Amino acid sequence: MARVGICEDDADVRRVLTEGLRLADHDVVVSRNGREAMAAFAAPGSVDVLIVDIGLPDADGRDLCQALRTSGQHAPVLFLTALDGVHDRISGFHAGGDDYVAKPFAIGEILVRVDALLRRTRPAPATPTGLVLDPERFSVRTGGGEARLTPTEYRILAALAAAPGAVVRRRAVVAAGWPDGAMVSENTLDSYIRRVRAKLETAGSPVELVTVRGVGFVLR
Amino acid sequence: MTRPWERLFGRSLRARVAWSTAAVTAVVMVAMVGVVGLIISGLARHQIDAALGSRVEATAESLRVDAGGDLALAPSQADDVDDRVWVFDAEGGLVAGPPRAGLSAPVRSLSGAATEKTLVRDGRRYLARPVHVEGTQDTSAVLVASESVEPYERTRDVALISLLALGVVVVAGTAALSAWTVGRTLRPVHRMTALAADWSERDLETRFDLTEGSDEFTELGNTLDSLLDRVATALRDEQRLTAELAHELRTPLTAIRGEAELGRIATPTDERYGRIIGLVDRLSASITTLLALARHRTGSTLRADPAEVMADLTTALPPHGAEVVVDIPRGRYLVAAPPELVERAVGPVLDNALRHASRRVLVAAVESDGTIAVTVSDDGPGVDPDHRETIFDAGTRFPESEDGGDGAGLGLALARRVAVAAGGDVRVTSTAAPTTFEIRFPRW
Repeated sequence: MARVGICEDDADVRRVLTEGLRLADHDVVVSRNGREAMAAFAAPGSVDVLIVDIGLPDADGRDLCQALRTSGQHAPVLFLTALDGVHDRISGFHAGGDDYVAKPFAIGEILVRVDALLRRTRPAPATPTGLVLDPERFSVRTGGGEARLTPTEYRILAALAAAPGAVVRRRAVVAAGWPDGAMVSENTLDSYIRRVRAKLETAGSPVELVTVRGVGFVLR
Repeated sequence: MTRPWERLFGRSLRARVAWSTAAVTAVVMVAMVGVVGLIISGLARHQIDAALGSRVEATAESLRVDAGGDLALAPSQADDVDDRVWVFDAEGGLVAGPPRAGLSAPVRSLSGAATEKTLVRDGRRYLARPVHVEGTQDTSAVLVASESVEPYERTRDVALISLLALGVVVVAGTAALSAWTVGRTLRPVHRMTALAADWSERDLETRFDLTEGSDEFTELGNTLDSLLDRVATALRDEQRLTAELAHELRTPLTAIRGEAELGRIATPTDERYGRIIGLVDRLSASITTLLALARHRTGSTLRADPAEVMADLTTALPPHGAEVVVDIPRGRYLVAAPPELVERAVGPVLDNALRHASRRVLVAAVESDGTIAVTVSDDGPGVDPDHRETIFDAGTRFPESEDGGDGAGLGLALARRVAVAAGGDVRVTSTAAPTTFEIRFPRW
């Protein structure tokens, strides 16, 4: 038995999922959109596994996942989506997802995958950075203020904030920030990093975005 | 890669311009050589005639009638007189002539000329002029002079040959110069079209943004930019449309399928639920195929490298137990189907193999009879030979599989539909040890 968080906007799918998970003796916490999910699941340890629909009305499920990771929520995430192209799947993994099920799914498959995710041991999450990402408005809040970001800046920052203190490689930052397969030059990435750094400073961020020459970037 | 002779004889603009320049120059050069030849010949004739004329004139002046009434050259001037002039009296009798030369046929034929006449025979030009002997009433004579035309012709030939040689050099030079100029002028066009083609396939955001200057290249850049804009908009619209369609169609199907599944759990004896699930799965397979086809029609590339598709597919794999070994060299095989379709045909077969493999899944490719087959082999328990075909029916599941058959039983049906839509097929080529599926595509 585990606590399973669901974020799905369609009431019928939500009910079917809830019922199916309850039949398998799981506790289910339900949210209907990105905002509710941030409120319900941001706290570390609030759920054991998360099922997140990618096509939410107010945010992209992948951006929500990154925001949750930044807040310190490191429960495994299973994405549900109506899109099943390879690039959609890859972008889900880059956004910190752990598995992927395409609609229409079999409930049995969801249960098997949830069990598999619960069995997997995860590395101990690092101390959160104190940044709060808002997947709906693409903004970052700190104790001192708030800054608006573009979707790409948001995804870059989220990739770094999900692993505070660790150096995130340039390639991983590109994979998180841009659609799969996009060609991004070094200069473009650097100029984005400069903009994110400036916005963090504007918002009075407690952490600093540091460039590790030739390797990548780190928030500390 | 264009080879030099292909560039020379190909149908490129550069080759065409070079060849037409060469042709026009050649015609002009030939005409010029002809005209120059005519002028030189005319001049030579004029010169010879002038020389012959003055010779005849000089001889005519020294003509006298001697005491006997006969025609003779003035003795005082006889030494100075050009002795290459034949002098005939009115009756045609030879009065004087070149000492050693006999009377040749042309000279003889001209001896009775009543008017001035010229004649060319055997490389010599002859001039015959009847003259009135000064100081007499009616005594007349015919003077004939001749000159070899050979030196003049030789000079003319040398001039014409030199001109022809110069002409060949000019033709080759002009053609080479125009090819070089056109090539150089078109180089930016080549670069721009190659970049635009590349961007339209891989990077829909980059533009030329040529704001400065108002030459043809700026115009071309702006045109390509607006085309790229349209391609990008069309692709984004199409992606948004298919994404919305997918979402709108699949979400209710998910709920229907879920309700039926829950119903089946509650009332396992009611077969209706199983039938509903089967119908949902069929509908779902149709939606997937239709969306994949709709996407590929607006997609930009129509060929795929199975090696690259496999690289993408393996990156996107969820955690699994078996090892996937892809043994397809990059660039060796190209199939005539868009990468998305190859993905959707191979993906479910790979998923299926991973579900049943115990340790290893091997993916390879072979080429035969104009088709390329991607083979997916696993070391799992194998396929019951009786089910060789039925496993491709939508909704078929085999509960004996390791994880209880968690899939919706759609994958292989979908794989086959997509492969058939792309002009290929999916088959089981070996039912056990290893179990091998073959996904066949037309070769590019």
